[in-house]
Amino acid sequence: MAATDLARVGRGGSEQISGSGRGPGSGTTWRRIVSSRWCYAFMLPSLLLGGMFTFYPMVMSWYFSFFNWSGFTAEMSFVGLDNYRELVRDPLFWDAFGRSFLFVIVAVPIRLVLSLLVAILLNNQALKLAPVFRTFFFLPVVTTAAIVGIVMTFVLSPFHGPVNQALTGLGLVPEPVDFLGDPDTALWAVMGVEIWKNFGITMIYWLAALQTVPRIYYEAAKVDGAGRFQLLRHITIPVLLPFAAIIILLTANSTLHVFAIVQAMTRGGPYFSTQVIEVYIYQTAFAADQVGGVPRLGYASAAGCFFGVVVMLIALLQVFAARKAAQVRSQLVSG
Amino acid sequence: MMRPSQFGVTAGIAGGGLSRRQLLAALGGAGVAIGLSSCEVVTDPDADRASPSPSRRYNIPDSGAKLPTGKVTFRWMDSGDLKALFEVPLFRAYEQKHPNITVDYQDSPWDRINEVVPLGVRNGTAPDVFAKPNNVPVQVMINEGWVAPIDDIIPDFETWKSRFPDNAFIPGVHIFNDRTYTWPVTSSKRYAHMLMYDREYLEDAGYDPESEPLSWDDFRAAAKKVTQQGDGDYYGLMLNGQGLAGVVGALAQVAGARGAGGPWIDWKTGEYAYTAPQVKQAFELLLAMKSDGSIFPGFLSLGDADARARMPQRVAAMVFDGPWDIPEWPTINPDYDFGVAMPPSPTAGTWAPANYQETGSNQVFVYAKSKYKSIAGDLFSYMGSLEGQTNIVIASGGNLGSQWPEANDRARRTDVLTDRSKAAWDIAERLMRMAPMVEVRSSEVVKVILELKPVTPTLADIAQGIMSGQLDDIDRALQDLKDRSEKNLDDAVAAARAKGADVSRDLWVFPNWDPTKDYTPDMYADLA
Repeated sequence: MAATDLARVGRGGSEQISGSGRGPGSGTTWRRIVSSRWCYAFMLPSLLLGGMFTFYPMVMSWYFSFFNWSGFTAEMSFVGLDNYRELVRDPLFWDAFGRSFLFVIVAVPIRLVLSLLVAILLNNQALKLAPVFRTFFFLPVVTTAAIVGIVMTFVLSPFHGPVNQALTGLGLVPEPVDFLGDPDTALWAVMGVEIWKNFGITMIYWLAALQTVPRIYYEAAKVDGAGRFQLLRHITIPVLLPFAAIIILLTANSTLHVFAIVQAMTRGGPYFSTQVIEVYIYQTAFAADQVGGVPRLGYASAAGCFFGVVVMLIALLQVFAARKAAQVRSQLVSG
Repeated sequence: MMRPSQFGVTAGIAGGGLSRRQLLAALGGAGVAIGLSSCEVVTDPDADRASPSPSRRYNIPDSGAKLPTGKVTFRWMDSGDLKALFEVPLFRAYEQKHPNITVDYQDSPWDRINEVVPLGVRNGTAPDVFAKPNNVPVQVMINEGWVAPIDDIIPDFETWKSRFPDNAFIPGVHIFNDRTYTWPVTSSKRYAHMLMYDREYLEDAGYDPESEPLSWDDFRAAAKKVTQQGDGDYYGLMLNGQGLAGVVGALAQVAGARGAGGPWIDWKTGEYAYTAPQVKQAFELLLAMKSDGSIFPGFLSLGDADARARMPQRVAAMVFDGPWDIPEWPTINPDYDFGVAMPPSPTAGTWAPANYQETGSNQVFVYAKSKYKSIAGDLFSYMGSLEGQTNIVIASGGNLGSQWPEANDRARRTDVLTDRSKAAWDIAERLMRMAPMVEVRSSEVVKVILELKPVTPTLADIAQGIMSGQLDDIDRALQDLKDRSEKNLDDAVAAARAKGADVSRDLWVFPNWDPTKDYTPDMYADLA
């Protein structure tokens, strides 16, 4: 999905650059559908799977959110908006909600900036080992999040963990730091691991975007005497702007979905200090046996829907920003 | 004792790469080897002395069940662990007796059971026998038609049932709507917070908890001394973030907090017991040990299984845990010498009783749409016989107990049980007393349980908050938990009453409860 979005942005960009593209007067809607029938045919499996595993569960979550339901019984009692009323009064929900957004606010800029810098370096054709480094940075992306989380608990352990051994060995800290057991460091430690794990995918987005920048611009600017920073400032960044909007959206979206890594590293603890919204939903919907009582799938669905709406609003804002950025790019390249 | 090296599993675990489940599976495999070899039977009911060789045979009699004659596969799913040591050889013996029947035993982690069973029921492919998913109340499984009563499945059911002790079958636990849906495969009487310790480390520090029980002060001093000895390589006490509430409950209970641990209800008053002074004292003891630096670093982010698995690696001297470690630890480190002792108490050598509810454990259910219910009945018939119960105890090395005193006695007379297992048994006998059960008093109570909402933050959360320094007012946190729990139960009772249930909070009050004695059927009768 991410690659498709990027391709669409890239296509949009080049359409505007060339000033060409399929115009509205090339035929009726039906004719266009018929002429593109194979495209639709190839999209059909994806649509079906998306419908079954994305859209149907989404619609059912909305439906369940209006019921008091454990998820197991045939009997469901309709409670209207009661779940939502209870939710907005639940401090644990708002705390988890806040942590998820803190995660986004901190982790997304770091991931974006670091990965952009690395992508610019690796986009240099003079760098012969670039493919090796790309693979190196991408490896954590394809590693299972739960495995990464478990391994990182050992890496960060205050008992003979390599990170603490390095820190104490270098004299940076007087004694080992309990990264995951200290509420002041746990969320930041998980965030660091998440950034490291998913850094590679953002880097690949940037690399794809960078490869759409026509080399002729750089060559022309160099002839005019532009230095590296000026190339970055006046060519690379403006041309990347429309991509940036969509990359921010994709990165923010992935940063909101950190359940596996949090569950593997801290299970939301200590004392909720790493409980992000997905962990809150999971613990409400499925882990009630661990806290006593019956699972509350209806209530957890309400939490999921509420959070989904907020994320959707942010996504809409970003789409709007992407369009604006595309206009800026269009003006830049045509001007 | 069955030593792993005898069965060739030591090499496989030398690298430390096997999980607890895999290790137990390996032991189970060893059990199969024993069960199917030509070893002698040692479960002679008249045996009064130890057998020379630790082995057993499964003499499965014809129960009278009408078994299928064609080739069938019978599926059984539970959480394995210690009971797998009995079930694996039983199933292989059963297949030998009935060559047309293959038993597909799915020894699964709880996460998988929680996921597979509800899905299997929905699409009609659930295992023929399964353990209850953790997050599904029994009443829901019955109301939704997931499971079948066993009254009609086990041949000569009334006779079979009558061999169990009084009150073994409890309305609201095993019996619903006058039908029996499950049975107590093993006893719940297992003490889960014994002091298990590294003998060498404690001896070096000058302590011997098996012969000289520790007071809380001794316990703290011993942990501190061991930590000093360890100089960063090992520590005094192993804890884990998930198990803190259990440790606090156990310490508070032996210090005299009525109703601490388990459902956390003081049955004398019917109120939640979180604010008992001993609970705060237990927290203060652990906090003091934390400030001493005696607790294994990073314990808050450790899980229960992680913490347990680290003990044979000798990174900590003491841990509070149950008998399930006894067969497991030697397979991780055959040279690990550990002791099994009574938990520390405020005054050395005196302990208030630990109360438990004898609901039985390791219960399984028969899938309502199973085509092979008669096989389940045939197997249950054997498992619930004297020989079956004895074999469960023996196969688990004494780390599972039966509700049948005779089965326990017979198992103990063999030399299969290690000294550690016997010690664990003695600790349970010495400490544990049966508490009343509100479900026995009224089967209507199950309707309240279905109305209970999770109370968050739980004691487990609060314990993490206290130990991590996020909560510094222990009294306030515990009072808040008690208030929320009381309200939650009141609300659930009110909701159940609104739906027609004949219940009240008075059902939770047992004025004749004496925590130092087992709560007997006569005592329930006295209440009426």
